[in-house]
Amino acid sequence: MNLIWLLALGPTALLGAVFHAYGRPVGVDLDGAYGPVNTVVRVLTVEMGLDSSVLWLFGVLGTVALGAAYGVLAEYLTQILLRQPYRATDGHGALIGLLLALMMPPAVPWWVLGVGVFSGVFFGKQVYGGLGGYPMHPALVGWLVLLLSWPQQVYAVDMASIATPHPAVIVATAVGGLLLWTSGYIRLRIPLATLAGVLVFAAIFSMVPAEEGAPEKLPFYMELFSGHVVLCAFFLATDTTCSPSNAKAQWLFGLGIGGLTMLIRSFGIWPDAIPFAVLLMNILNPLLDRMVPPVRRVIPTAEEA
Amino acid sequence: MLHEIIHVLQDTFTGFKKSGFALEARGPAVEAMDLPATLCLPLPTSGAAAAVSHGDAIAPGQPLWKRAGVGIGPSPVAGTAGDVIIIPDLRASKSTTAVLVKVAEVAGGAPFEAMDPGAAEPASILKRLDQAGVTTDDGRPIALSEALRGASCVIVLAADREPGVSSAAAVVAERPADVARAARMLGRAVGVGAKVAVLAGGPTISGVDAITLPARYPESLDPLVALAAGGKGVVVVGVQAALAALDAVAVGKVQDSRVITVIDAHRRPVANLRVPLGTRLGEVVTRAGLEPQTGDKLVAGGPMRGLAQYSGDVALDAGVTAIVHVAAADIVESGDDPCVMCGKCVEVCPIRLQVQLIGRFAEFGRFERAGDYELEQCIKCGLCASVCTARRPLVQLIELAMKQLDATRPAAVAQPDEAAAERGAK
Repeated sequence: MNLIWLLALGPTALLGAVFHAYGRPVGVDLDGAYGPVNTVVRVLTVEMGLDSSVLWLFGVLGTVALGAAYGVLAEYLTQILLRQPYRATDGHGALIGLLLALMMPPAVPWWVLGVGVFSGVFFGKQVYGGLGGYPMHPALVGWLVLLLSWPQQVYAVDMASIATPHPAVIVATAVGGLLLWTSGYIRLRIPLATLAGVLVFAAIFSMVPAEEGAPEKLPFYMELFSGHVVLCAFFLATDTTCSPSNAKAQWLFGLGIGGLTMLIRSFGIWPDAIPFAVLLMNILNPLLDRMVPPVRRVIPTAEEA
Repeated sequence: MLHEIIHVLQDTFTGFKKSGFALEARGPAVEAMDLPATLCLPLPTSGAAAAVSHGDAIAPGQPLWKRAGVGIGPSPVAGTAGDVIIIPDLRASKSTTAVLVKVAEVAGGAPFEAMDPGAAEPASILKRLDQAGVTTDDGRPIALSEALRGASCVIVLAADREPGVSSAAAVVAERPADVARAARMLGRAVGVGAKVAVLAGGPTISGVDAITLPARYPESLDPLVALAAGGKGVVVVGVQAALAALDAVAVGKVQDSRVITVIDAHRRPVANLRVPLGTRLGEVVTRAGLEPQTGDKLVAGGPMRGLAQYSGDVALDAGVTAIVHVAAADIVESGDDPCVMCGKCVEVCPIRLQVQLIGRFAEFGRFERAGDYELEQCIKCGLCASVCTARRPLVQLIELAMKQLDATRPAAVAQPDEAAAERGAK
């Protein structure tokens, strides 16, 4: 089952890697971040003459693989620590690590990523008993820990590129998301509701007159393609454990995420607002899941008979 | 490894199809199965004792059991009584008693006088149903007269209840006019209106009002047919039970057989066999040409609600209308994996229960909380467990919760006597 998730993220990871290379400003300090990886890359770029964009490819794939490995290790260690049954081979930890790595810049220090994945897996998932038990998405819990502890590392490049990733990244993520749908792992309600919510509330908030001296805002329809919106809509908001099980609740969940995203982005301080929105709606999930259709009474009860 | 990758790629593009199990409108024509040399006739209801002993001559229609002084369980054949033995029960992990009857060389005639189903007195029709041992044909058999008691409307289900099974369809194809006659007769017997339920796109029955059911599981299960018919007190009678009732009245014969669809390990129907009641499972398996290997399952009942048998000695009763051979490689094991709250069970449940919550509460022993979600409305169709991402034994969890709640509070559900005694006894 988890092979599908990993395959679905494949196009995202690969194209993200390639276009990160061309879309990001070059100039990250190599010596600070990578160490041994650094040396290999220097060999490839300087001595073998490959393009420096290979650094980014290397960085992204390396980050992603590292994240997945951290995830499996974190799950395994915490399951031993908490004396839970060993389920590290089901790949869910790897998925958490992989998702978190995709939300990080490729030059994120290896130890920062490690802390993020470990805290996500431990505080976001295992303390609640593992699969099926956690109230908030573990990858986003890890992301939050990293954002608040090492904001420079998480936002290693300027906010502008957060706002406008390469369109091919968006397309690749959407393709991956649709592959998840065709394989039957997700329903499209939450992704569609999220994207619709972002669009609708972006349109509403774009009518609010801008403050004096505020930076120029994006046209409202471009909000759909900024930050991690598409990634969160298809891969993170759809995590079944922390999203509703009932159809109507799922629509409202997605709309809530979209609305909160635009609210935070328009009136708050975080440009990359969707992870916050997803976390907040995760907390509201049990309340939303009370919206259930009436049961079809087909068996007469003793009173009715 | 390559195999797995190919399967993954296939799943990637086919996984989003809705799981809809189609019901069969047609099937192989009915084939007769010869009477075995010895019939093994199980106890028809709890609390009865054998009324014959080894060596007694048996006439067709003679009761083999006695319960509270009343003779029940008529023999379908002429013969000699053998031993009273213990055999495994078809539906519970317990044993039951059975009378062996060595079938006579010469068949006896119909033991009861033929009556006109359109003109006979209702009371005598009901009495004849009891004399002829006519029972329901879905699950543990109960006397048809018992099941009809208090009905406000009788619906004869002229369709199969489970996907892949076509025994009812084959029987309807054999004698469509009799289905309408049987429906009218049963309606008269109880003094209420009678209808027939047919599948959309399937053969129609003329001569009686019909309701049309979507040709999709579980729409033909009794509680949903009753719901489709509207109104309280609707009683659904399977077509095989209805025709046995008609024959009991019009011909005067005892209920003596059921048509059973035999489905092989490749999920194909091998045959619709008219199996004499009292035939052992092993005998039907041999006759149908199934060759079960070690580790395979033989399921008595349909693919969704049937129960795997551990012995070929078990005697088939009037509640079995399908036998499914499941190859060991196709067996999907349920486990103790946690619920991932994917909501597929909720989407697929025809009763709109919060199956994921009921399952989780039952798993952790919080049965009172499970009971807050109206789990007594569950019709045990098995769709939730068949789609569960985590392969949880959801039907068993719901049944566990029901039994625990029954033990601690008065019965929430109105049950015919037999079923209530059944649940209480376990």
